[in-house]
Amino acid sequence: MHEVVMEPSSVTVGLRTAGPLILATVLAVIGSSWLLPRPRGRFVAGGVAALIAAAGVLGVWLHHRWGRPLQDGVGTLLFIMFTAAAVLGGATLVVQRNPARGAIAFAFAILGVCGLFLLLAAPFLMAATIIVYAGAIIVTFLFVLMLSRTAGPSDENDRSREPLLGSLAGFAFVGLVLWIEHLSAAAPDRAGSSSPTPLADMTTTGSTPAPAPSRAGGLAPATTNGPVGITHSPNDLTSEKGLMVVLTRQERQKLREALRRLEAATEILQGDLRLEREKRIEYFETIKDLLVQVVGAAREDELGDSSEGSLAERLVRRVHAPGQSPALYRNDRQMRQFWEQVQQLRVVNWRHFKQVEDQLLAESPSSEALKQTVVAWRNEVMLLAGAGELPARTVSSLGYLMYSEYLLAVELAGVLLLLATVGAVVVAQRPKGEAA
Amino acid sequence: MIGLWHFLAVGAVLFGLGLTGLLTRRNLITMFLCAELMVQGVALNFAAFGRLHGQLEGQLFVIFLVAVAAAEAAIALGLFLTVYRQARSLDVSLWQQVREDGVEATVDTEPLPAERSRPDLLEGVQLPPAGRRPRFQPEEGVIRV
Amino acid sequence: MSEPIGLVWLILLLPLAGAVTAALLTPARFGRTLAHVPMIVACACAALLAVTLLTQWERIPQGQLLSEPWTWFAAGRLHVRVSLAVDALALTMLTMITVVSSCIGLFSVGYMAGERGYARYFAVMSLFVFAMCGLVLANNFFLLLGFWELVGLCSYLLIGYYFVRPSAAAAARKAFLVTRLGDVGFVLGIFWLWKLSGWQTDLTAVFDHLLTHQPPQEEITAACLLLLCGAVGKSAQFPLYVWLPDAMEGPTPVSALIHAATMVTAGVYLVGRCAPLFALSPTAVITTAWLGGLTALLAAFLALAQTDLKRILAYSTVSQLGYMFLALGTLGAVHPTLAVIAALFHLLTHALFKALLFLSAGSVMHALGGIIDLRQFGGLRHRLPLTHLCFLCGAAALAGVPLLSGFWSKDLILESVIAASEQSPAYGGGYYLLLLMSLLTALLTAFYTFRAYFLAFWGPERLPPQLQGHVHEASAVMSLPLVVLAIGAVGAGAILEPFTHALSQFVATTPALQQAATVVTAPAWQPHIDWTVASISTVLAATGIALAAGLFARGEPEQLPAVLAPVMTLSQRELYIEAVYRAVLIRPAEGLAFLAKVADQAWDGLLHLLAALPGMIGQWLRVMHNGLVQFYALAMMLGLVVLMIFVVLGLSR
Repeated sequence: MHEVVMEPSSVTVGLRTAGPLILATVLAVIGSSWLLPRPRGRFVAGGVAALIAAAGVLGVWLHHRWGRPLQDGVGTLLFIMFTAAAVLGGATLVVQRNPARGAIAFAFAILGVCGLFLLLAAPFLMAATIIVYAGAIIVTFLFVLMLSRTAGPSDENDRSREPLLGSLAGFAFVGLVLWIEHLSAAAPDRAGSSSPTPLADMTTTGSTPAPAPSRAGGLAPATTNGPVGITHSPNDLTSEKGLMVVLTRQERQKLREALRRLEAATEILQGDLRLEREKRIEYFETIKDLLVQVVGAAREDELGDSSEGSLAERLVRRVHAPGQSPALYRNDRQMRQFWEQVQQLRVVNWRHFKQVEDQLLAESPSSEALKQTVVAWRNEVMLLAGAGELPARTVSSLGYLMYSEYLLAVELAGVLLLLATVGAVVVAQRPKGEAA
Repeated sequence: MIGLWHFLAVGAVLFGLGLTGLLTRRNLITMFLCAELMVQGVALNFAAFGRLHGQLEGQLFVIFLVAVAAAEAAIALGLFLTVYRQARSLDVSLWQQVREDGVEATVDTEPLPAERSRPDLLEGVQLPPAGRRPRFQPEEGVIRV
Repeated sequence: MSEPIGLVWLILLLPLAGAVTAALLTPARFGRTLAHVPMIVACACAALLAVTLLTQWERIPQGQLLSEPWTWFAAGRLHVRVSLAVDALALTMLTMITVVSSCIGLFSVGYMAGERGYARYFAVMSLFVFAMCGLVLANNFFLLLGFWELVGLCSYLLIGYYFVRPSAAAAARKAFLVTRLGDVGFVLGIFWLWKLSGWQTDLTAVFDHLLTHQPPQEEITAACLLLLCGAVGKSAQFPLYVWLPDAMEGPTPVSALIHAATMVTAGVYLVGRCAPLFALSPTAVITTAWLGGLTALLAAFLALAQTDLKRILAYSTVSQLGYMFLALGTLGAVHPTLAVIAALFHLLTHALFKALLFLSAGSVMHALGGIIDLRQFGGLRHRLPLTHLCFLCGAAALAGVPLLSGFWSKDLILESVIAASEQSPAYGGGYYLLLLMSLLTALLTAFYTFRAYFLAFWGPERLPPQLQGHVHEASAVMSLPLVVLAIGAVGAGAILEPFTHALSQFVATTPALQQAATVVTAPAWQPHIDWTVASISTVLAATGIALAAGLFARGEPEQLPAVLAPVMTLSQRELYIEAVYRAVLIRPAEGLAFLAKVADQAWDGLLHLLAALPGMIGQWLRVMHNGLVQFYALAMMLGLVVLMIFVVLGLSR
């Protein structure tokens, strides 16, 4: 049906892409409806085969459409492993007759998802999910053992409600979602404004940065329609219309270095502050210069360092680029926020440095005031570093964010949990006088 | 080598699997686990988009999602306990009283398969009343356990 | 300026706080024994504050206190502001209300002891005092209307206090509906005034505007008549008086507070407050006079032969309210100060002696275990000596025995009517007729009051058989208010006006009355005692009392004199007015309702036919609604999938 309405040039593409998706959906529906519990006529072997076939078709389609998920072989392998664990666990949960085994399968699915979180540079999420769900699963498991210890076949475990229609609803939904993803990935192509939004720089390890050219090359796979009319030099990260490269690797390293030095500043501030003033000031000046290299100086022109490829240049162009498509609005907003952060740091950087310098040059420098200034300075840098990059070490930034900007939401979540606990106790309470 | 879509696809598949289970399975606990599976699919999407935009908000959302899921689990399990006390079963289809007046109850017609016979290992073994010495009769042979 | 107005706010809000506290006590265990505390404390404090304000009144400039207004709501040209105004008139009313309600609250402690809904009773009583104070203080017509309706609501709740009794429920409904009938006119009148006064709603602003821009005579007359409708409904004037006798279904203290002392005087107060308006419209004023005169005579006649003690008192209330309206009805013909002071003076004395009478009746009822029918008991003067004495005081005051309070206030009214018949250019003859009617009413009043008194307390002792030996005087908490009110009923009249002229000098400072005086040509009034009137009314009262004593002092006579018998029968049947209402108003309305019902059914049939169609489709679709949650979720998901397919098709385009 898509073929009819699509432009002639896209017809073949549509056929080629939609066909496997429909096939996978149909296979999954068949397999799932065969496998779902029912009193008679469960066709286990066929169902498993159909599901595996569906997964295979989908995997091939994904690979064909978007290539490998991660640039490095190990990463891709891990991705496949974790995905397999998640999907296999999920499927087992759905079709397993015994709820206790279903719970174990669910635990496997959770482990798979946690692995994927790790690949997405979210180690805290991984830990939190494992802890929470492992706890929840164990409780659930206990309940399963306690409650549904039915001796033989039972209505709740050996029957399904509308297996065929249910599977159809579920998997058709998946197929449609994937198709919409495909379409939205392709849409900027046709608009001629952006390449498929890539998830570049997705290294999990982050320790061995791939050289920029190769990464940029990987970002523009030959299978997609390349951006038209945009100069695309492989060496220039900034020219690429992707969404995520906020900080280049060099900038990030500078920020990290500044952060490290700020954190180590307490050592510098030890001893009699009236001595060795020059040495100390020099230390802080280094920090200031590092930051100036990233965000620009406060005293020069308004944008700071706006030379080719600098942060300011990139962001300003991104933020103020005219005629952006509405799809990029949200992105623009985030960019603007980030730009505001950069501007703030640019000003604050100078002010903090001046404060530190003044303090150090004063008659009797106050160690407390100095420390306070340094901490405020450090927080600003940390916010920027955390917002601008997402390496594996995001936990501290996440914590900082949670307890600063989202404090209210965190408190609300805590209250919700407390209420739920109380509510569960109330709900499960046995009415007075009722026998066990 | 573009990762976002792969993660989104995995999230969608997990969501769909959970959805299928939620729609078809009749054990309340299994249904609940399937719902959690759907939540995981969504969480994966959040994390992937957060990664894409280079922002931490995506992860933050997942944290809240986990908190909500935990709250939900507490309440749901409490409810299941109450439900089980009333009906001695976790079958969700038992609870269909809110149907339209005059509509027949949906009853399962297909008989369940006969119980798979499993040898009762402790057949014939009885504990003596408390306080009495068990009479061990060697001539009857060894107790089968 | 800010301090006294704060005092006024406190007076207004104290009873509300009392109501809330009492209501909160409802579920508590000690609510059954302690719920009266908030109400009595609040009312007593308010009374104390009101008296304080009264003593400090000379220091208030311009004779009026206005609160800082704030906007309650505004819609288009309608700006309704919350603002209070206190002048001498309002302050007098305020003092009366709070003092009487404190007495009655105290009496209720004994009377209501052990009743179900004890806390509810006191909460509503307190709320009533709040509403009444608000009504008196409101300086905005819409605020006034709000309190007016709140008063009606409290009355409804209290009449229907014994709501399990069908007659009480019916009486409550009747009272509510009949007064609503008047309120329709009231609301229309308010809107008319709003339009006439250049879209203003504050009382003071409306008066100022109307007095400076003389509006068309017909329009102001119409607005005043509409206002009068509301007053007639609330104050139980002819033809809307029918609810008041039935309202005696409520507890007796309620009858005393609401349906004798305070609420029913709201109409009188309203007309008095709006004196500047009525001064502009002679037609409305003479209508008021005729309504009042007619009601006074009619109700006095109806009270002649009633056997229910409380019903007699109820009709006498109606009759006395008629007197007040009559006094107000002389407003243009005599100086407004005289008219309004005559009405207000009678209002005050009436509040005292009528509350006293009702509480005495309540005491009788309490002693007799709820029996109030004069045919079932008599000769109680030895059993209940204190009650007897108090009732006697009240009855004498009501009958107009010289030197008691009722005597003075009634004389002032008569004096005002005489002055009107002499001075009124257009309606002199009418006022003369009204004078005769009011004199006749005075005679009848003395007669029926003392008939009730003699029947209840004189003659051989008659008691219901089941009560022999149980009848005794009530506790101190009930007796104290009786004594206080009795002293008031005896002495207040003489102290307030004829010898000191304190009331008239005080009330004459009211700005509204001075405003009204500017448009009236009548000569100024000098307070004095008119000994001619006094002697005439003395003779009338003595005649009435003597007649009653001759006939009833030995209990109910076997045979009434031939002249009196048909009159008494007619009175007992209440002049067949209910029957006339039934034939003239209710029957046609029922016929109309029947027609409407038939038409409605015809329409309904048509609509049902139409409605059957979706019903049939629904019958077919209802199978879908099988109660299985999973099925619903499945249907929802399938629908979503279909929707998404359409979205995808749209995206691919």
